[in-house]
Amino acid sequence: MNPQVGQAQKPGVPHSARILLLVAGLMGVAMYAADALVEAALHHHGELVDQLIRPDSAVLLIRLGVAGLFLALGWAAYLLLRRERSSAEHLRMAESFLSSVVDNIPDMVFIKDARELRFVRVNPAGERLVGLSADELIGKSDYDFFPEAQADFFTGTDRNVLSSGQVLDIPEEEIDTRHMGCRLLHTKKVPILDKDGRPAFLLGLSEDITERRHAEHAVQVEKARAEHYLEISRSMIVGLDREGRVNLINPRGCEILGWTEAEILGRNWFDTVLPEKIRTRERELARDLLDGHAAPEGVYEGEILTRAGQVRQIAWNLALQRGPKGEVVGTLCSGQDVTDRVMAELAAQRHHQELAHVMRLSTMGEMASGMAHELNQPLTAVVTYCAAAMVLLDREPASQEAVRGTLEKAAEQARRAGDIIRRLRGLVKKGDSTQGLIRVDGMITEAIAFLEWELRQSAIDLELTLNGGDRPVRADPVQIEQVLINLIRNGLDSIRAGAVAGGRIEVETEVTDRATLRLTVRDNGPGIDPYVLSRLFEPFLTTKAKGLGIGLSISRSIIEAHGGSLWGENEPEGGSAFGFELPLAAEEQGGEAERLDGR
Amino acid sequence: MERLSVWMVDDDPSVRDALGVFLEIAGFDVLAFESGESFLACPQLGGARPRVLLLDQRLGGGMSGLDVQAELSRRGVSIPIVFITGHGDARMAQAALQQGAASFLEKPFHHKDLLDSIEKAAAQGKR
Repeated sequence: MNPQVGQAQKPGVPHSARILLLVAGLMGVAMYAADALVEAALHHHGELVDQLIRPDSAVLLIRLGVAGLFLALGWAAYLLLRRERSSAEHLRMAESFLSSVVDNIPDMVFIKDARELRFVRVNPAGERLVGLSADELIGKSDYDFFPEAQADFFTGTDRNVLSSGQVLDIPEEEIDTRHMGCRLLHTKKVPILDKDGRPAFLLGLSEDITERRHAEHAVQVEKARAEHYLEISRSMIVGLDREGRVNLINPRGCEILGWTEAEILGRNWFDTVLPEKIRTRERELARDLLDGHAAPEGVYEGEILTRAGQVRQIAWNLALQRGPKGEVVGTLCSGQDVTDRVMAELAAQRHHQELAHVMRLSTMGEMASGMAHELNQPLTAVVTYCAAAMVLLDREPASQEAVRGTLEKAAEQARRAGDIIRRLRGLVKKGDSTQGLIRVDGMITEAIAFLEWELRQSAIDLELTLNGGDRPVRADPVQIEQVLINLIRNGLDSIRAGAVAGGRIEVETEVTDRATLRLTVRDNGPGIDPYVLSRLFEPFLTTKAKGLGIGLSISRSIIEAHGGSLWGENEPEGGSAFGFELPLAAEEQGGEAERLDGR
Repeated sequence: MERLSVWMVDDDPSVRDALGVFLEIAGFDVLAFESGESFLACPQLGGARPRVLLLDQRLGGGMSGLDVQAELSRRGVSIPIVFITGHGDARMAQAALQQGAASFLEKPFHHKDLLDSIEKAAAQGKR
């Protein structure tokens, strides 16, 4: 990566020193030979070989001394030269090592001279950062490359450092680079003094912190946004730690609860906010969530207590708070205040009950004359049997058997009258809405009893096909009976209105594969007028002279309040059909049905 | 002494039974019908005529008491009729009287009123 970083050379004897040593050796040998040659020529006349090999011992001593002197001189020169060469090598190596260090620092390193603040050195990281090569930079000042305002700032801080002699830390400064636009730097500037203590150079270290700042900024924006969400949310948002202490609450939460954030933070949620009756249950729910035994799914409705002691109904969505390693550290709850909705539902239910009562009264009015007539039958019979008994008693001898038989018949008719009265009272009674497990098939048989006389009066055949089975539905029996009577009476009225001969009403029940009980009432009357059909469930729309027009409308709201649906249509082969579907109660509750079935 | 023959039409079996028991004890021959149609279809109607007819206004099936009365007068059959009505049928009873019924009784009635009405009707028939 860095071309200037070379392999440091191995320390050793330089080549020139070896040559010097060799020359000194050769010179020693040459001096020995030259002296031998001169001696042979001057004194012994050609006895060169003798002079070389067997000289006088004195001569040999001198010769060897001169040669040794040369050799010693050469050796000394060699040693001197070698030491000099070695220290220069060391210096060069040290310099190269430092350069390598500087060049490998991943942050920008630059050196300026203290006098004119011109670049003396810039490392490769610096070159890459500003987008200028060292060659371009060296010898130039900041004013040659950067906008004036930036150059003013750089040189200003340079001068501060040099005049104070102190290291300066600049946490954030902007620099316009050639290739990477404006970058943010964290720079440290260090004065470098000469041996007299005067500033000679300025050393600068700059780290590019642009990415880190951007990331930090993004985190801050994210955090601000999250806080903003918490702030504007119309849901109350509450965080609880593992012990159930509040560790987060938003303004809406404070508004609903009537506590300030400072007051509620750290308090135990269960002890502070939940009504006592549900504390244990809620604690268990929270523990199951924290331990992973339950998943935070769906909406959960529950009550809370405000600081002023008011009960509010909250629909909660739950989530888990997780720590850095993904471990569950608490729960996060988002709650909608649904108190008003729940109150409205209750009011609507009350209203609905009142309307249903009006309908019962109206039905009763329509049925009153029929009921009165029916009541007159057993009463007439009672009176007449009694008259017969009295006549028998006046006879001599009175027949006890005959009197008893007649009175028994009278008593039976009186009981029949009582039954009729009871039924009538059941119809008028308003009664509280009490849900129970009921079997619709049994209920149909009871409802028919109210209508028997009218059906007989109009010579209408009633056919029951009851396949509702044993599975009960959870419902208010009085209301469902009301719907049954209403649907059958509609069929009856339709047949009467159409003056149909051979009137027929079929009542059918079946269990569908949607786990619902389906009831259908078919008549062979003239069917529903198309105009009426489109507005079948509008209240106060009636085709009957005496009707209130609320029967179907209320019947439908009753069935829908029980989670079912009610419909009306014309049959393809004539006549009309009305029916409803109610969800079957869950299987395991079947036992309770035995108790409530008879009603 | 010849027993007076009383026929009655009422759709309620217990009323038919009670009236039957009482009238037998009281000394009448009783013949009961459950509907206007079955009464009008009785072959004896043309011959041994009943002396008094107890006719309930409200009858199961197609015909009402008034319908039966109208049919009898259409056929020219003259039988004194005691109309029996339920509660609230007073206007109907007035109509019956205007069409020649002897009297009417509102259920439930006292047995002395019943006997008086039958006697009165029988007397009317003799005239």
